[in-house]
Amino acid sequence: MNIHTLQAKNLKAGYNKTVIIDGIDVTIPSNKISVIIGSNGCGKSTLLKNFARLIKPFDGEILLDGAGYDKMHSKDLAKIIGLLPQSPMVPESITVYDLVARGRYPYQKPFSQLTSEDQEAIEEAMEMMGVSKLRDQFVEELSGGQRQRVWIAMALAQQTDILFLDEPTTFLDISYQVQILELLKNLNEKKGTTIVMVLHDINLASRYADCLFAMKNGELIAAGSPEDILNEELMLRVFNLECILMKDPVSGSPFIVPKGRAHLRPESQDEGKKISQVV
Amino acid sequence: MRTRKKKEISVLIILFIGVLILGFFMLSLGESNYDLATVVKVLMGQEIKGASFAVMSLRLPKLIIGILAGIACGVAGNTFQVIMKNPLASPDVMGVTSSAGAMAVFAILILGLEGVAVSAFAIAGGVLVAVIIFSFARGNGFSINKAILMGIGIQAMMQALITFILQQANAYDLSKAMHWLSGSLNSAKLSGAGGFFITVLILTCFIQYRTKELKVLSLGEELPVTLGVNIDRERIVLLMASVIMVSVATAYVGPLASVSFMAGHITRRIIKTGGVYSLQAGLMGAIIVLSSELIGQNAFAIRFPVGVITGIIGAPYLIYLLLSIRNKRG
Amino acid sequence: MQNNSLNNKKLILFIVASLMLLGLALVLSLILGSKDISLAELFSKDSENALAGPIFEKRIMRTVLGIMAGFALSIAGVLMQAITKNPIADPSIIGINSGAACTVVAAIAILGINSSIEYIIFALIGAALTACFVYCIAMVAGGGKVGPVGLALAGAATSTACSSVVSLIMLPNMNVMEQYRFWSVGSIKASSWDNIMVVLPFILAGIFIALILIPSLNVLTLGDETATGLGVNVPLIKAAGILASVLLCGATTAIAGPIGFLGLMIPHFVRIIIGGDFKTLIPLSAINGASLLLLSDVAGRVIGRPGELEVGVVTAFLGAPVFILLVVKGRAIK
Repeated sequence: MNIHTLQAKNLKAGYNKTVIIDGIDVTIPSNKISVIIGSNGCGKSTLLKNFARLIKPFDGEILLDGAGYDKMHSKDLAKIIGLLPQSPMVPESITVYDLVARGRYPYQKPFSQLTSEDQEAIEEAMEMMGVSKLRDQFVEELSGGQRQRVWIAMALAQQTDILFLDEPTTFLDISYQVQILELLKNLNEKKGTTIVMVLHDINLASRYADCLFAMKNGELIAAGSPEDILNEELMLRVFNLECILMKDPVSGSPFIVPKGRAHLRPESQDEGKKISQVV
Repeated sequence: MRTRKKKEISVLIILFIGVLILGFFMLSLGESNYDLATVVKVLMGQEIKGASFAVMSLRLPKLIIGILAGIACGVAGNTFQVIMKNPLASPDVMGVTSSAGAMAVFAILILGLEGVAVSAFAIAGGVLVAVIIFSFARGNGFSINKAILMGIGIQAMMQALITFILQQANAYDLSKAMHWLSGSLNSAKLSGAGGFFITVLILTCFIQYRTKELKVLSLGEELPVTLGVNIDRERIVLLMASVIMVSVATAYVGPLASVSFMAGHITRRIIKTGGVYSLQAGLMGAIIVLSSELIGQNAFAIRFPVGVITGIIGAPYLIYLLLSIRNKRG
Repeated sequence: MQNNSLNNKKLILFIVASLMLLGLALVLSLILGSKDISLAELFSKDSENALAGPIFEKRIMRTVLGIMAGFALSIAGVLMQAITKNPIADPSIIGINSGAACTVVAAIAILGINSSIEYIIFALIGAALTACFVYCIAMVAGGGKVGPVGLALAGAATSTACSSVVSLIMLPNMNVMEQYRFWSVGSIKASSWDNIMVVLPFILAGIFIALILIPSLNVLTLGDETATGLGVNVPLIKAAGILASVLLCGATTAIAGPIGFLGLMIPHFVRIIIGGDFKTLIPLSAINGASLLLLSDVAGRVIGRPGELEVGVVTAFLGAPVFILLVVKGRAIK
């Protein structure tokens, strides 16, 4: 496993002509799991898409091992950086195996067949995501959780050192969410893959992330391990939400419980009054 | 894995055999019918009274031009559909074919051109429409629905233009009108078909050579980029190759209805391994054209041009497709 | 309040302008053609030489027919767009024209019909069948909702099928072909007053139904549920609207052949200027539709000299870009 450094310097980016991210510096920690959190529209997907070169920065630059993306051949880059988009498109009547095999594109030459190396990578990726048995099924017939595992397997077959995932758990129920994150953690530990993803569930993020990036209005508010940065004050700043900080009884990581007002128990009435004053 | 590969190849072989069989029927059936032996003898160069002229000068050109046009439409339509991930997005539905036809008829009847120049005009017409549709349908991300609707509008306009040109040129005789309004093989000639052959050969090889890129392009907007495909460049190059192929075919046989939209879709329905199958789609196109021609020439009391038959087959197929897309969503 | 009077002023201005445009179109239609007639000749009382001739009689006939067709097609467009809640609904997009053509040709070949009244009846049957067929396909394809793409594609497919069937029937019958060829493009060159008198009742009936429907249509724009809540019998209104539009464009197609895109363009322009109240939308679309049809016809006569260019070709040229513009601007698809 190679160690790559990936950083954004003074990055300005957005869509069409709207600036969403206005000059931020981020360094992605190598061989770690990083999670970007923030409210809707804060620029976390934009940041991810810039790193995954889906959109070009307006200004500033993204450096891989100190060099800009445009200095590299796009197929070579595809061997280092992979991305799983939020809702990728399933081609008509494609089997699990064939879909995973498409992740091998950067390694293939025109007219050539899959090499034994390709086949190994595909088998390994399917094995890791536990979809080997589904290999001959059509992807469109799978359940949401299975399908997501197939997509991740495709990204794994790409054998990149860095993997970006845009909200990989969004449309899944809670058991699949945990399953997917467990698999990603396993991948990170076994192969040292640098994983960067956007997650909405703060508590799952806190549990699985080595490093959190909290964003608001296109700015990076805080970066660091969940233990260091995740607290009531951060939640208020980033999400404008009053919370209570607790400890995850399983992992010991920081655990966030939003207050709200409707369900306050008598003993926390005082807190409730405070909130109504704030609001 | 291996079974799927086998399936793709066996379908390719079956389609090829199908083209051969239909080809034989094309040569043997007509005003007077000849048996296999006679057809083979004539093809080997033997002089047989009557048969030689009918087979070599009348039927063989139709056969060859028909096969080339079918392959061109099939491969191009398939490429369109794969890139745009929508079976409705084919050059004929999107107005590319009729625009190429309008420019070709303009070049022939108004400017008095022939040969390569006509193809050049047809290509210009096809490319122009493709560029218009794709640049206008962009905006906030490419909208396939916008592109299809615009194509339907452009098609109506081009049909009007063809009618206008035919009237202006005082050339509204039956065969020409049918040729340019729906496509036919009746004026097929071998002289000058060399350019057609080379165009189809080169572009089909090129598209086949890009099979891996096409497969990746069918994964949506984002994954191809991260897999290292220059998505805009690949799309433009592959679509332009398809447009050129269809336009050249249109310059020779007129705007053939429905072939480019049926061939790719039927092929994918048969093979069903989520691949791209350009070659199979091309052969399927040839089969559709040849069998329609055979039906049109032999099944009725009088001879109908091939475009009328493909139009009649294509319309219910389009409706079936509309309905089946719905069922899959529901 | 002030805003309201401003709107009233604008409306009156638009009505006056529309009527003036129609007047202009009428005069141009009478004087321009393969043989021009001067204005002086038109208005002098004793110029029998120019006005009494058969040329002028023909020209009056086609002007009258142009006005009728313009009225009919524009109102049909308004009705279809209102009922399908679909901005691109138009007789030519839905394929009604070619459906009508198909049944007429089939009836000529199989039943040997040969009188105008029979043509019109079969055209009406064809128009009605096609409208229902295309509408049902689009409805099923859209899962109960008639989307623009589904409607346009179902219409395009049906058109292709119908024109292929027409070719199948016609190619063996050369004499029908010659007559059909102009009909298939769309022309308001009427053959006789009798023919015009035959279609007139159908068109008047269609317009009459449309006028009765005005208040209900206004409520229908609020959505089917709201309209039902306000006491509108939605299925009845829709059926009546479809009947009216089929009468209007079926009758027009029977006498003038397919004239495309008029029903698409006119209501859109009128709506942009004076808004979507059917009380004003229907009459003003009718007036402007007639003007545009006459002007297109005149343009066809002038451009196509020494012959002439059928009005259907001209409206397709004008209308298709408008259609494309609607698509590009996102009015056709939200």
